[in-house]
Amino acid sequence: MPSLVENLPHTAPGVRAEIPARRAPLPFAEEAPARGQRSTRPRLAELAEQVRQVSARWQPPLRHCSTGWRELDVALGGGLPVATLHELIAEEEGSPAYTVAWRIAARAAGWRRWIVYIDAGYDLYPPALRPLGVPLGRLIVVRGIGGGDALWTAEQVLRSSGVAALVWPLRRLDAYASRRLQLAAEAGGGLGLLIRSDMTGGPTFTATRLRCESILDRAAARHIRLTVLKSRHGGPREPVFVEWPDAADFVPAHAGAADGAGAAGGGGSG
Amino acid sequence: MPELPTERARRAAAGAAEAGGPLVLARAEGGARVVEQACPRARALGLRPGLSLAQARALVPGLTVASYEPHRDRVVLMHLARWAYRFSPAVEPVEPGTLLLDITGCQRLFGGEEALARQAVTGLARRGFQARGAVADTVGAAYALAVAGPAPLGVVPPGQASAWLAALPPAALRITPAVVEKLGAVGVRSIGDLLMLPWSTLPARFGPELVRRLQQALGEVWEGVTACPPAEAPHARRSFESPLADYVAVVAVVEELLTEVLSPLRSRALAPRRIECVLYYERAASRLLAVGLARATHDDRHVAELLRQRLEQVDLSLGVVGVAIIARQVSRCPGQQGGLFEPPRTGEDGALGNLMDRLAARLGHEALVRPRLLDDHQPERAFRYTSVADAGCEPESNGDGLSAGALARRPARLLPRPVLTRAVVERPGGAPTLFVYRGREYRVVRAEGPERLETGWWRGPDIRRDYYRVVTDTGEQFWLFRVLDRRAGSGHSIGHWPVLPGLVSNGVDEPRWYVHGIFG
Repeated sequence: MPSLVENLPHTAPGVRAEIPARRAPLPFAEEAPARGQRSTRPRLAELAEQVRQVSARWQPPLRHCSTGWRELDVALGGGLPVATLHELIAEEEGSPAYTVAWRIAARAAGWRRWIVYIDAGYDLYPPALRPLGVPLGRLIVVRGIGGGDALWTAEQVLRSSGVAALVWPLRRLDAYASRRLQLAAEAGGGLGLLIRSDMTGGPTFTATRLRCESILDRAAARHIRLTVLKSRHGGPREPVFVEWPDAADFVPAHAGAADGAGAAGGGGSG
Repeated sequence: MPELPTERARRAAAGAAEAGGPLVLARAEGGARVVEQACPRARALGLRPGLSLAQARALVPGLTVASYEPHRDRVVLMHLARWAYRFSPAVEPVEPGTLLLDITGCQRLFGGEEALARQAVTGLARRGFQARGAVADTVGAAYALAVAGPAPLGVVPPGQASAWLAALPPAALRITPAVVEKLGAVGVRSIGDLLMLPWSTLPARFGPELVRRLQQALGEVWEGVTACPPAEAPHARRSFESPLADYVAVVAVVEELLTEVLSPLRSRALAPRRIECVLYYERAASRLLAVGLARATHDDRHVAELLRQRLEQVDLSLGVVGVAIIARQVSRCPGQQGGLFEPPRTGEDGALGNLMDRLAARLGHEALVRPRLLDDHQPERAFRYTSVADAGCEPESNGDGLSAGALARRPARLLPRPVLTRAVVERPGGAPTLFVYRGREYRVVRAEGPERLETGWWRGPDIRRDYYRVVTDTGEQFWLFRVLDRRAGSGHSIGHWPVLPGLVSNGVDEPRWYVHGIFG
C-alpha cells in the first residue's frame, strides 16, 4: 500500500509539512560498561542525556495552515506558518479581516482542537461564524477584558498547547507586546491572528502582515482584496482578489468537524 | 444502641417489605448457619443467638434472615460518631453499638446533662436506632447504666455512682461472659453483691479484669474517652515565629505545603478540584484564597502556579504568621505514568483545562464563556453564552440541529447596542441611500431587504424592525434597521432587546435608523 505510506505524515488538509533534511548519525559510539559495574543509575542518566540531545537536534517540520483561498496561499508561500503571529490589517470599519481570520481559524481547528477569541468589544456574533465553518463547540470566548489583562490573556492562550488559533481584534500593537506574543506562540505552537485597525506603533515581530479590504467591481459586486505586506516568503506582493465567502460555498459544519477529527489524528504524531 | 446490627440490617432490607417482622442475623459456623443476633421481635418468639438457622426457621415461619456483617455495622457506627460531634468534641465509638461522649462542659449548651442525653437518644431514634443513654461520672458507670439501667435514659448525680451501680447485674461491667457465669455460680447477682466481697481475693478467682472494671466504674482508676478525629479535608499548616511579609518566602512555604497535601493524595489516586490557601495575620482577619480547577489533576506545578498568581494580588505587608493549604472536592483521578526523559504530555483538553484555570484565576469565571446557538429568529436571542465553569471544557459537536442557511445572512459583528444614525431615505418605506456611522458618511450602492423581525407578544411590548443589508460605495456592508413602532410610548421596557435612545415615538412620524451589525 504505497499510497498509504506516503500519506502517513501530516494528512491534515491545509497543513503542509517540509520534510526535514537527513540528520547526522546518532552519537551512540560508547562501549558497553565493564562487567561488575555497580550502579546503573549514572548510566541511565547518560542515556537519557543522549536521547535528549538527539531529540533537541530533531526539529519538527515547519507547518503551514491554509487560508482557504488558494491564491492567497500561493502569495504567502504555502499558507500561514503556525507557531507565529499574523497581523490582519483592518483599516476600514467593514474590513473583511474578521471573515478572513475566522476562515483561517476554522482551518486551523482541523489540526488542533480549540479556538479562543478575545472579545473586548462585546460584538462577536457566534451565529455568523457557523457558515464560515468555525466549530462553535470548540470555541472559547474571553469577554470584557482590556488593557494589560488582554495582553496577558493573549500570551497565556498562545502559550497553551491545546489552542489551534487565537483571534484577537486589538487597536494597537507595539514591538514589546508583539515580541512577548511571538515568544508565547513559539512555545505553544498555535496560530496568533491579530486584527489591527491602528497602524501606528512602529515595527512588530509578526511573521505576516496582511491588509484586508473589501472592494466593489463595476457591477457593484463585493470582493476581498488581500495584500501581503510582509511574509516570511518575501516582501510585498501584488494584491490578491478573492471571492467573499457566500452562501454558495459555505463549509457545512458537520463536514468541518469530521475533517478536524481526521486531521487531529494524523497531526498528533508531529 | 443494643440493637444496632439488626436495625442496620433491617434498613438495608427495607425493600423486602419486612418492616416489623422478626429478623435474625446469621453467620456461617462450620457447615451450618447459626443465628448470631436476633431482633427484639425475634427474641420474643424464642429465638436466641447460637440457634442453628434451620431450627430458627422451623420455630418462626416467615423469618427474615440477613447475614451478620460487622464491618457494615462499624461503618454505620462511625457515621453516627461523626453525627455525635454536635454534642461533644470527644466521641469514641465502641463496637458493636456504643458511643462514648465526654460532655464535660458541653451540657450548658444543651440545657443540662439530661437534656443533652435526651437529645442524643431521640436524635438516634430519628435515624432509626433505638438507643439507651446514661450520664455518669465515669465511663464505666455510664456504660453500665446505659446497658442495664432501669430506664432508657439515666443521669447519675455526681458522687453517687456506687449507689446506682449496686442494683445492676455484674454483666454491665464490660466483663467476659465466662466471668459473669463464675460470679453467678457463687451467687453474685448484682454489683452490690460484688462490692461486699473482699477485693483482694477477686483477682485470684475471677482474673484481674474484674477489679479493673470495678475500679473504672467507681472512678478509682481513671478512664478517658479516646476521641476519634472527625473526617477532615486533607490539609497542611505551618506557622512562623515572626511575621513574614516577603512574597518569595510565602510562596516557598505554600509550595512546600502543597506537596505535603497532594503527595499522599496522589499515591491514593485522588486529586482535588479546589485548593484553599488560608493566610493568617497577626493583627487582621485571616484571608482565604481559593483556586478552582477545571479538572482534577495531579499536576502540582500547575496548582502552584495558580496559587502564586493569587498570592501576587494579595498585600503581604501586614505580615503573615501562618499558612494553611486545604484540598477540597477530592475525587478519584487515575494517575498518569511519569516519563523518563520529560514530564508526560497532557492532552490538548488537559492543556486547555490548565489554561482556563489560569485565566479564571485572574479574570474571574464570568469572563470565560462558550457560545451555544439557539433556534430563535430574534438576532439577539439566536445564541447564548454559558460560563466555562458551568459548561466545562470538553469539546462539543455542533449538532444543534440548526440549518446553516438560516444563519447565512448575519453579520460577524453585532454591536452590543444598536447605534442611532442619521439616514437619508429617498422613497418612503424604502432603504436608505445615505447614512452616517461613527462620524463618517456612507453612500449606499445596494440594499437587500427589508427583513422584518418582531418581538413575540409574550416578551413584553411588541417591537418591529425592518432590517436591511446595505453595501456602501467603499465595498463595506452594514446591517441597518428601521424601527416601526405601532404604539406610541410602548418602548420603555423592551425585555431582551436593548432600550434605545429615541426609540419612543414623540409624535413625529419619522423613521429612526440604527446600525446593528457590520459584515466584516
